[in-house]
Amino acid sequence: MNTVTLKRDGSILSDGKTVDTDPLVCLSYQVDLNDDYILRSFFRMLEKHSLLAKLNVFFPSYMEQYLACPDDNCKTGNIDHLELRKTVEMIGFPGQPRLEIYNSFQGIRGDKTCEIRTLQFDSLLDIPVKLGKLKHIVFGDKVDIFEFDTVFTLFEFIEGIAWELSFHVAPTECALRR
Amino acid sequence: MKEKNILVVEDDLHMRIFITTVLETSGYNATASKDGQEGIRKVKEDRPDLIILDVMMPEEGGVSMYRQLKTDNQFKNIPVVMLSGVESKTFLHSLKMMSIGLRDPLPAPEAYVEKPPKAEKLLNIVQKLLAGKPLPE
Amino acid sequence: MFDKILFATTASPICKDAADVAFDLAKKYNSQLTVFHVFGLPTHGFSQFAVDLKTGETEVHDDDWVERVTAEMKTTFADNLAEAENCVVEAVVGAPHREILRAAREKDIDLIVMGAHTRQEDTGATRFRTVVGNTMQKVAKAARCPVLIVSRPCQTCWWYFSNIVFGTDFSKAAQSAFKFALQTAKQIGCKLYLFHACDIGPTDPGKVRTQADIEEKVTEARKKMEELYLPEMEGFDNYEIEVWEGTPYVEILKYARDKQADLVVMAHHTREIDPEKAVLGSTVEQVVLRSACPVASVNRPDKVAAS
Repeated sequence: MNTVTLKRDGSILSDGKTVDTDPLVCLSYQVDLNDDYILRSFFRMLEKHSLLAKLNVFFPSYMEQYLACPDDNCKTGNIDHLELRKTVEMIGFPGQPRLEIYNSFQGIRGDKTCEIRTLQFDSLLDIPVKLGKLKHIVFGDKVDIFEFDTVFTLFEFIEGIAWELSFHVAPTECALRR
Repeated sequence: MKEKNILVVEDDLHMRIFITTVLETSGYNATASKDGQEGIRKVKEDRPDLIILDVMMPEEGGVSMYRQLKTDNQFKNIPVVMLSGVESKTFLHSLKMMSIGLRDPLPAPEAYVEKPPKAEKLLNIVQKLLAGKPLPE
Repeated sequence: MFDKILFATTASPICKDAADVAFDLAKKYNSQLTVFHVFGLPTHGFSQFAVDLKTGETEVHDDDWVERVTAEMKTTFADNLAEAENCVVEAVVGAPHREILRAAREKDIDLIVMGAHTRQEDTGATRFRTVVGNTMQKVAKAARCPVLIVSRPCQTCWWYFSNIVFGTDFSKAAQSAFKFALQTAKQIGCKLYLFHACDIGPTDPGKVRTQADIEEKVTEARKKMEELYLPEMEGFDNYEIEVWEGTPYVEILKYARDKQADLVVMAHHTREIDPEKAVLGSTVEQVVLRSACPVASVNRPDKVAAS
């Protein structure tokens, strides 16, 4: 109930039926990805449902880049898959103690997280995308002690990816020189 | 009588200077390190009598160092005063949660001080731990 | 242009990116560099340390403390300092923004360099955090010279600088920013890109914006760019003018990437507000957050013309 499944071809399934018209109501539903889902599928979904592309000011720019890329083989061997993760972070002194909750879209290689900010669409589109876990950070930034299964809404999925991609602004030359 | 050696592991420059100054003006021999890795190295080299450890540092934090200390027979008996940016209830809860995943749960630190530390309270704790006396409530 | 540089640091290793930029700039342009750290006793809640624990007297051991801090700073920046020729390390007690601005005035600083982030974090974590802290806000607002904000520079491919992008919204502060960008381009001998984004924005209900409307706006903007800035060029011809339509910070980032900018120069704030009241514009913040290269925020015209 209240779950949408995203397919590789970009279509959205709700209750087993393809969502044809207004996808807005699905934004609050739990999202599930088919096993063969890739980043290109994400953009196919935005092509089918242009209303969703209004969720972030960077989408017109992403669509341009997406359309300019080749139809396949847009991936790099350095990343196994891309993952959306949730983090609950406890922050103390200095400043007021608080809990922050945020989503991150990151590259995974083996069991390690990789920086993907320097990669452009032609190195990312055909990499598999998966939903990850929730990490609870208490003692510092790199201690992977608390991980839990969690859920994401369609909105979080779209927004989380859009937010990360807005940082991929390094000139291509930088990536080449690395 | 030989001066007691205390190792301070703290990533913030001012906190580091503050604590080492407080210790030195009270007759202790204080050394400092900026992170857990350097901290472990100094523990092996200097064999301090007590360690003051900030548990919420970036990178590996102090937890990794704490775990290494408490699972090593050579070092597990060195008293550790844990410094943290959250209150003790929160910290101890997290420590319990963390121990659930381990075969041998980690012991709670000998003392816990919330940041920013008050000089007097810190010195009281240090003095009592080094003398093997019970700690103030 | 960069005879005297002040690098305002939190003295933590997290400042490394900003430190590298400051030292590299100083090296390249033979500048006098001051590495400047300000710390405030009350804000740290360290009033207790002022009590001499042996004598019980309340004394503020400022000199000793400052010495220890300075010594630690030299350790933190040891690698950079090893290669620096004309560099001074200073630590001062006081309110950070006030001391930074005071030092900038007294030393007649041409450029202040600061780091944008106080904690290292993944991009997801930046979602709900402020990009620009209190100190930087106050410094950028009142500084008489440009403030260079460094977030996560790409250190391997900079030439400091070969492509400067100047983003304008035609405001008065943008005029100062332009002067700085132009003078820098002239003195360094690099290319200057003048850029404006027409913020078309949402239409009134019932109105449809046509492509013709958009093109008209773009043409108007281009004409305005030429009127405002070309007369100031004084023979400098290594420039390009471009106008795109879209959300300003999105377009500036795209443009800067296109032109492989290694410096983006922007006005501190975008509206005609009393400069005393202006906060750092959200466009600047959004650009600083994501920019691959440093961003110079310019508010006042004092130190932007050639000396």
